[in-house]
Amino acid sequence: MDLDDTNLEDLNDSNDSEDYVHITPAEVLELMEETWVNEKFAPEILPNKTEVVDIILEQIKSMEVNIKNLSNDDFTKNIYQLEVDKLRFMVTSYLRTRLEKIESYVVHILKEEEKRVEKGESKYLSEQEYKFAQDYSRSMDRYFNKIMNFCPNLTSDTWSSKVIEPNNNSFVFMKSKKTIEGLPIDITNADSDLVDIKSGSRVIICYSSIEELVKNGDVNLI
Amino acid sequence: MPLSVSYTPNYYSLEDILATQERIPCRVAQTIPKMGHLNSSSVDVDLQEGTVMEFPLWLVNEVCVSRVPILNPDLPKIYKESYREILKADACAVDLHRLNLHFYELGSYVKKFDKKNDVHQSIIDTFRSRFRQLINLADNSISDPMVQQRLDTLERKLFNDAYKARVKLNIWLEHSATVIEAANMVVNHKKRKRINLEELL
Amino acid sequence: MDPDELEFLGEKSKIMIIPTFNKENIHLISGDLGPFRASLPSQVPLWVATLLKKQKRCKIIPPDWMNVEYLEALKEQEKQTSGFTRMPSDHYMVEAKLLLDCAPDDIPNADEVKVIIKDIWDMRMSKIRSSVTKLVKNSDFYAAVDNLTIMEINSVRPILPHALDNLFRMKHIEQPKPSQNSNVSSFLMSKRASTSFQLSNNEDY
Repeated sequence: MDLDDTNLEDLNDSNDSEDYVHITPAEVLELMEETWVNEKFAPEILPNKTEVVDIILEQIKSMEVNIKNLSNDDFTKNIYQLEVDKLRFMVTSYLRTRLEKIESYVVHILKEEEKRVEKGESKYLSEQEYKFAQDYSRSMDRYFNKIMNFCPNLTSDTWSSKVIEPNNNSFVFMKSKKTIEGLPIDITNADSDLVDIKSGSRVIICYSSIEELVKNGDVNLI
Repeated sequence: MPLSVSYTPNYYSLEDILATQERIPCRVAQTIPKMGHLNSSSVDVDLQEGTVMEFPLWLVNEVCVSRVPILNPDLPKIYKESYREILKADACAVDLHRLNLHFYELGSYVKKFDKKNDVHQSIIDTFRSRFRQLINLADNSISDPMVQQRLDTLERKLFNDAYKARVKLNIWLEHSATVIEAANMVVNHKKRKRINLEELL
Repeated sequence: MDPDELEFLGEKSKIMIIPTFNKENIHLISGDLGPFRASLPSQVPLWVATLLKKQKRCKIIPPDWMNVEYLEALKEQEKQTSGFTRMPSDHYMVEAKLLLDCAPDDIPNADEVKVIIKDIWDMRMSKIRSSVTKLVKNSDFYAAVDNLTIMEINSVRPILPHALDNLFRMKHIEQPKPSQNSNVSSFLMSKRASTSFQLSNNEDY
């Protein structure tokens, strides 16, 4: 059962083509797990990790072909199957969590994406997610337009200006991968207390303080 | 599993709408023409300056932003000093549910009507003092069901979410059986718990 | 997160087994296992160990810490300190639960082990409850939880983070803005009250 390594190279390319590091399927799994847990606990939608998801899906697909070829008498078939099921669960749960966030904060998310595009930054949503968000938002508008007919004064501007935003001042648990110095615990306050967090340390803290650190991978939510 | 988020008010939030529906005692700051019918104890056509009556918070918020105020809002009595003293003495003993269903939310809105700004600290302190009771309740270590009746809406949501998580954890800890039985057990257990919860509320 | 999802995360802990079968490598996506030789110890993830055990294809070698002597000492230490002792494994509850469930015959004094682990857990739970209460009482918006395991951290979710969310929010509504719903009100009022207020300056109603 040889695993297909080509996609792994893609991942390295997309990250940094100059600095090639070989990444094993096991490491991609680690990444997937971190990505899943981060997404679960972050109040806002995080930058997509389509490249990781795609590799996992590729791995699952090729593993399923292999499983089909195994004899039913081989008891290891169960083990292979269970691993595939576990991975599938994780990927599904990750994607569902993102869809729930999109449904909850669709207007906000699309506005943020627009700003990112203007600044030339990459989008947080994957292509399919972006399409889903746009469709979802259009359906909402259509629905509101239809049911709000009885209020001629209430135009679509009224509700599209009432944006539901995720509460980024939510408290989260995190584990640090490196030593962080002078982190403000309340970024809304200019005189906030600062803390140092040692590598490997676990703390509860306001998400807005560590938002960037979560996105660049210096800390993991737990 | 739906996103686990704490209560944050927004435009579509029913709780926010209900909280802003609460009535605020106001003194009419200038005579309002043709609005006399709002004051049932008067036969005047106009609503006279100096009339004291209650208006819903959303209306008060709306008309108080203008430069020349039409209404002078006062604090609802449950946020006044006498009540603050009671809460300070023993917040846990107070039936917040009876004081106001949206004690904290309404308090967060009306604290701007408090010139001395004591309400701000008072509601924070009340929440902090009552938290011990809340966490014990969620862990089932308080047997008095009456305590639950005395929570305001915000506390109730916290309690409900915490209680559900606690039940899940207990099921996980206690359960040891094969997979099929597990599924049955979880389903039954959840059903039973849900009924209990509703009975209690 | 649900405890089941944490169990999922804990299931990748490595466990030693003694297989009763011979088999060449198993090439999982998460890495290769084996080769397996009957009666020679081999390391596998917990989920593989429980699966093989249920199929009666292996004996489990309990983790170093899963014995009465070690756990008694750990319990004593937990009792002595006011803080939290570092646990031998970040997933000790998941490991204990799964292994005691499927392989009590491979763990010496399994019943006793179970009781001590439960004692340690209960002791820590009660400490956690008092620290959480203290944290909210002081409205501290930051705290280290270094020696808490994932399952223990999850046991204070959602109550601790949500209580802090609310405190943080209440604290930061210093200068409250007009009600979020004020535009609805202005709309609902537009035909009556607000127009009539304007009328106080000019024409009739």
